[in-house]
Amino acid sequence: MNHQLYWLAESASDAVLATEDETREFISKITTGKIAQGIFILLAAYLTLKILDKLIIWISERIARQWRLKVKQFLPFLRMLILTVTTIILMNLFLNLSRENILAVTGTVAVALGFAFKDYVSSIIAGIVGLFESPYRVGDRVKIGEHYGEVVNYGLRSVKIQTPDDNLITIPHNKIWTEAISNANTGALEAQVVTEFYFAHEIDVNLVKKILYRVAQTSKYTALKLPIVVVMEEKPWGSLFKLRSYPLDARDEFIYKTDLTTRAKQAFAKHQLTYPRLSIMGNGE
Amino acid sequence: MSENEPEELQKCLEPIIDQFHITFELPNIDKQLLDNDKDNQTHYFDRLASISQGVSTVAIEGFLRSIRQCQTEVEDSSEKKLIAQMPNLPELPALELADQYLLYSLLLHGDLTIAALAESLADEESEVQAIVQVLLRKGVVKQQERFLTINPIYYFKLKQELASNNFLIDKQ
Repeated sequence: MNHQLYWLAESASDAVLATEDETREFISKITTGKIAQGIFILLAAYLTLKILDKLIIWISERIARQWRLKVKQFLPFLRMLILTVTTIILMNLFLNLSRENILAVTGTVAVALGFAFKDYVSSIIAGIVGLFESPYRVGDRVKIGEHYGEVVNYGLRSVKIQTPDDNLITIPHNKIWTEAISNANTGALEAQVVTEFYFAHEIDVNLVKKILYRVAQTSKYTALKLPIVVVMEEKPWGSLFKLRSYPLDARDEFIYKTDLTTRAKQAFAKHQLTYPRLSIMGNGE
Repeated sequence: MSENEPEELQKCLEPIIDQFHITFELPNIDKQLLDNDKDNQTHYFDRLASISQGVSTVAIEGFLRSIRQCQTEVEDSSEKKLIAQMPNLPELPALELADQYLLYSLLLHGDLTIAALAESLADEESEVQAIVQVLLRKGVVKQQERFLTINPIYYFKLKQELASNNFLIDKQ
């Protein structure tokens, strides 16, 4: 019995020693020089990312508008490249990356991450997939969940959206697995703007259509290369008109809508066109 | 805007050149080597017709901008002379988005008063007035009495700038 216990204790001690040796073999000798080198690499990568961010945004805002989005969309790829290169350099510095070691570390890291950083890793993978699938790109106007705005930053884990009220919203990339993403311009400079107008049933439809076309054609914001369409629909409470047109720059969306509405209302007032009345709406419902 | 050949431009500007005794600068060395049989004045008007694409208003503006006053020493006395340097189109100053909308409207209509410009842009007159002041100072817009026009020297570069900023521009 004693002999068996001694044998068990010895084999456990051998196993511990073997693991220690493997770990020592896997992690290369850490010296002060290596730590300093690592810190320097991290700092250099951080500074490069910051400079790159500022530089690309600066350039894209100064060149011709037609190139703005194309330049901005280049940024996430550059960021990903720098992060990958930095990770490889750091791993080379601190780890002995033999074929067996890589297999061992991948398995261990996968299990650890699976439990501890599931959402984080899911977001990073979604970010990489998103680079190629492009549900949104920098400069696009998107709606993710309840949030609508312009994509101003495409990070490793999340995307930053600037709302029309100038709020900055951070949304993790893993939303692309589950949420529907509505993209208004998908890389183009123009995004269709739909402006709605409401009238009483008895109005002159042709006159309203004429005014709406004229209003869109004469707006300084309208992209005249793209179609202008007026559609209408009858509702129980009145007539609904939709003016579909494109601003020169998707960023002008709200100011464009305001311009169209203001000038259209001036014309409607001049022609005394009637709006749906509250009593009619009540009866209709 | 009418289109002109170098000879026509020269003929049109000759009275001014004679009256003010304007002389012409030497062209750059490659031009001298390529067309060594041509005199300075011919080189000058070839260049003027080329940069103005034969458009008379652009050519006149280019001509006026190319003239410099020089002081030359003749024996004991100094003499002031007018020299026409090789003409060039200047770079377009940096333009804001609001400037581009205003300039596009001016380009479409040719010449406009501030009130008419404000109406075409559906903006307040005071707002338009402020932008116009900045553009007048930059030299992109010219004012003759109440009418505003695009400075012809910037005509081609402005068209190019607006076209690359998504405005509907005839490339011809």
